[in-house]
Amino acid sequence: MPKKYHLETSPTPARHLAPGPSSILDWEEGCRKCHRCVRWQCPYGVYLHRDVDPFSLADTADSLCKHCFQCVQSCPMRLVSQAVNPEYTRLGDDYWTPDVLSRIYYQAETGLIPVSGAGYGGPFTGPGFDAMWTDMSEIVRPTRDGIHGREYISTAVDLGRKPEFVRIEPGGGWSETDACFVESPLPFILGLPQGRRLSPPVVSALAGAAEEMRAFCLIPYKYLNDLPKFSADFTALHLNREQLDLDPADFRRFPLVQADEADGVEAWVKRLKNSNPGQIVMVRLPFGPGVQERLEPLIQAGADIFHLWADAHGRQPGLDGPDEAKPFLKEMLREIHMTLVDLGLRDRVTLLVSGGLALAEHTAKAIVCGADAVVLDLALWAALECRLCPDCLDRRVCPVELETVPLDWAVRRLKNLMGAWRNQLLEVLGAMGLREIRRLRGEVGRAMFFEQLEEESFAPIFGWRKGQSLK
Amino acid sequence: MGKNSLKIVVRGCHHLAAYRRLFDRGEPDLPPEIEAGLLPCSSKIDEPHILKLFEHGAGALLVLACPQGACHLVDGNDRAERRAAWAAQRLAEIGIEPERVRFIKVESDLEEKIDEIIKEFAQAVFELGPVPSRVRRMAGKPN
Repeated sequence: MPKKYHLETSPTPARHLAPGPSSILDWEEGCRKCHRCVRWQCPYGVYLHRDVDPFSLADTADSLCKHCFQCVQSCPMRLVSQAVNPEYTRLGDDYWTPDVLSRIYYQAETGLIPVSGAGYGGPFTGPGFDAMWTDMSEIVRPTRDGIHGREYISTAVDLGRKPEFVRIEPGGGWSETDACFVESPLPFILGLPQGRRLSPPVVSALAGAAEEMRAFCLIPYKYLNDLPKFSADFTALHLNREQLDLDPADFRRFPLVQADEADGVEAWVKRLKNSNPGQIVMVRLPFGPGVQERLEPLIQAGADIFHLWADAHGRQPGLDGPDEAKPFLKEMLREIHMTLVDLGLRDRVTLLVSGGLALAEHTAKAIVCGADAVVLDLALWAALECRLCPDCLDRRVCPVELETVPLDWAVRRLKNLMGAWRNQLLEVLGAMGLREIRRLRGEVGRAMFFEQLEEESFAPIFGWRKGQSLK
Repeated sequence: MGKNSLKIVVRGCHHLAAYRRLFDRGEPDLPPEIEAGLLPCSSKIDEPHILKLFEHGAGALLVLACPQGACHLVDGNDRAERRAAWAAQRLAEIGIEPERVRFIKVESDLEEKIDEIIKEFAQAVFELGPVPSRVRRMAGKPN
C-alpha cells in the first residue's frame, strides 16, 4: 500500500474582514446603563473588540458576529437588533451566493469542514447540482475509525492516456502500450478563471500550492517569466491560440501542456507528440453542441486529456438568456462521457471539467457524471478572499488587494481549502462504500437525478412539474 | 490610497432604492475618492463609529437616510441625524470642520438625483481639502 497522502492545513486568518450575514444595530438612546450590559457578555467577545475596519471602513462586529442572538434577546430595553447586512447580500451572484462564498472563506481560513448545524434546512431540490443527490447508504457502516483511520481511501487520479492492454514481447517479457499519464494525489487541478484579473502573485501562489500538494496547476505561458520560482514538475502549461506556433522543444520540461481549441489544433497536437513523445497533451474546449464530434479526431491526433469548460455558473458558454434556459454541466458531461464509452474511447482519454464548481460536493458530482478530475478556478480565487465582483476587470481597486497577496499566506489558504474539500470527498466516498475516487467516475448508480426520477416515476401520473425539464 | 489623501465616505440606507441601484453593477460610478457602502439602516451610524471613521482616514462622511417618517425602524433616521450632528460638534471641537459630516434625508423627489447629491458633497469637501494628520490622531480619542 502506498504511503498515505496527507494534506497539512494550518489556520490562516483573512487579511480583510468579510461582511457577515447580519448587521448589528445597537441604539444608545433609551439605554438604562445596566451594570452588566448584555453586549459585554457576548460569548464571542464581538463587542469587546469592536472597531471600524481600517480597510473597508465597516463595523468589525458585523463580520465577527456568529448570530447567536443572545444580545438581541437579553437586552431589557430591546435596544439591540440585527438586520440583514446589505453588504453581505452584494457578495458574489445568484450561483456563487454569499453563503457559498462565506463557506469557502471559512474553509480557506481554518482548513476545516463547515458545519451548518443539525439537520438540513435547504430546499428539497434546485437547479444544477442541487437536482442530484449522492448515495450515502453506506454511512451506517463507515470505515472503522473515520476518514483518516486505518482503512485507506484514495483520492489519486491518473491524468493522461492509460494503458489499454499489455503487449507480450516475443521473448516472454511485456510492455505497456501507448500509455502516457501522470498520477495526481488529488482530483483537483488548480486553474485560472476567465474574465478575472490575473496577477503574478496569485499565479505564483497557485504554483506554490500545487507543488506543496504534489498536484498540478495550470500556468499561462505569458506568466512563466514573471514567476520568481516554480516547479515545472507540477505545472500544466497553458497556451492560447496565438501561441500554438511556438517551438514545442521549449516546453519539454512540463509534464502537461494545454492549448485552446482552434483551427489547426490537431496539427499542433501531432507536432507536439512528435517533438516531445512523453508529454501529455491537453485540449481545452467549451461545452457546446459541436463538441462531441470534435473529440474523436483529436483523440486520433494524439490528445490525451480534454478539458471541457462551462461558464462560471456551470452552464453552456456563449448563450444569451437566463441560466435556467441553458444546458447545465452535469447533463452535458454525462452525454459526452457516454458518447466516449459508446465509441470505446473512454479510457484512452482523461476528461477534466471546469466551471460552476463551488462546493466540495460539486466535484464529487462532476466525477459521478463522468469527469476524471476537475479544474478549479473561482473557488480558488474565493480562497484568496475574492468577492467575485461582477465588474472585476473594470474596477479601479480590488477590494481585497489580490495584486499584493503574500505568497506564504496565499499558499496556506489554498492548501486549507483543498484540504477541507478533500476531507469532504473522503466523507462522500466513505459513505458510498468506495475505496478510491477512480471508481466514482461515471458511477451514476451512486447518485439519483431528480429530473430522471420525475420522468420515470411521477411524470406519467402527475405530469411534468412546472419549470422542470431535463435540459 | 495614501494616508493623507482625501477619502470621502458615503453610507446610505439600503432601503433607499435609488441609492441601492448605484451598486447593481458592482462598484458605483462615482469619483475614485468616494468610498460608498450600504447600511441596513442609517441608524447603524453612531458617534463612536463616525469618530473612528475619521481616525481611520476618512476626510468626510455623507449619510443618506430615508425621508422623514419613512424609516423602516420608525425613527432610525431621526436618531441617526441627531448622532451625526453631535459627532460633527465633537469634530469641530478638535478642529475638523463640521461641514465634513453631512446627513441628508433623501426625499422622494430627490431620489433620482442621488449621484448629483453625492458629487456635490464631494466637491464641497475637495474645497476643504484633506484633514491634517495631527488633528486626525485626536479624532479617535474624544476626552
